[in-house]
Amino acid sequence: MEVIQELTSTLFIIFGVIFMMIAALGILRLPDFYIRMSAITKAGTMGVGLIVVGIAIYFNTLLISAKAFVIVSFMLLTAPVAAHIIARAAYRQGIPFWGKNLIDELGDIVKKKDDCEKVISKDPQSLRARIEILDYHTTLPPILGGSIRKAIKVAGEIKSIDTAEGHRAYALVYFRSNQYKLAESEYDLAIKGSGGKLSYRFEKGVFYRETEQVEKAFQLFEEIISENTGIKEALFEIGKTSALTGLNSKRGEEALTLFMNFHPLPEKSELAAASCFMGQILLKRRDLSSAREFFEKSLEYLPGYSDAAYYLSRLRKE
Amino acid sequence: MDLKRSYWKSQENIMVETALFIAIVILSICSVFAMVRFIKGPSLPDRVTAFDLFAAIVISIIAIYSVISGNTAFLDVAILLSLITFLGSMSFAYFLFRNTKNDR
Repeated sequence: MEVIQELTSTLFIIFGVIFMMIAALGILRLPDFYIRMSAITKAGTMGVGLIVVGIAIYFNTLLISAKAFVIVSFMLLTAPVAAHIIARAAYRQGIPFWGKNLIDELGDIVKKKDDCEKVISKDPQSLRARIEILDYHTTLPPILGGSIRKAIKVAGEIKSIDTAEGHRAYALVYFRSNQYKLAESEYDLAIKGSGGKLSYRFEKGVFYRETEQVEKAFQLFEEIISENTGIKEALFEIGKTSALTGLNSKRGEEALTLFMNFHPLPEKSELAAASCFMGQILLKRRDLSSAREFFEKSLEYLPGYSDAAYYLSRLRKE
Repeated sequence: MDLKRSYWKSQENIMVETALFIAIVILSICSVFAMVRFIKGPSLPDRVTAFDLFAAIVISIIAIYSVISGNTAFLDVAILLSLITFLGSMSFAYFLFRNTKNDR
């Protein structure tokens, strides 16, 4: 019995040592900081864990087992946290990648923002660059460089160039920082200031949809239709709102049918999205066969459209 | 302390004894690797992670040594060391945070 116990413990220890060796080789040979870091956090933690478990087996008493448990659980808790924090600090410091990785999304966003700042320094009246910067500050969390205060400052600059656009910018900032009442009034001001510009009204409708004021969204889109402008887009938005929220599905279906038979015919990507939303409405009503038809139609319009493919695969499972 | 369980007292398992010694030797080589990375750098985060690994290796060596010597009190040292390493790497991370501009 004792022999088996000692042998298992030695086996554990040897496996742990092998993992430690992998970690050490990794930190010596791997090409850049982030890859080395992943090597030591995974292999290192595994190695220490196995070794300590082996020792707990060797001594086989409650006290030692408790101590081993403390060590292992502490390693498992702290190693990922420490690795995450150090990697984040390193990324912020700008430690370079090794050059063969393909995706650096945050880096791309930051680069885009820097480009926009260059454009502004050349052309101080540029609205588009300012809107991009506003987007940057409102969508990124504060730890990555987003800042509502800076966004409000940029919105002020936009307002001094173009009043209506400025109100829209303020609305966007308030929307993204969850101050919906203020956002609504700013949207109203923007629409009033621009004399009822359509794109602002659509944006306001989308804002209503995202903040679960669905009734108001429907009302706004219907209003746009009744004024005989932008009927096509409004029909599409009604259908989308109905599909996403599951409310008012009759009107949504009607609107999407009208949209799909609209003259002149909408673009293929729009048609694909519309039939996908139609399918979602029908799916909620449990009209499975026609829902499937619409999803297939959507894939026909735009092969590889991920939403439609997802719903279709879900239908097949049922 | 139960001296029969102490490793030096038992004569029969030379195999286990050699295995543990080889384990310590390999871990020492690993710690040399970590130290090479610590000296080479090239950046501060590299050194912090190398030190992390070094501490993990030292914890393992202490744990194995507690088997060889039969003295379980060494495990307490391992617990403390794992605590202190975590605090050390955390504080280094915050040091890095404060030393960089908030532009990225």
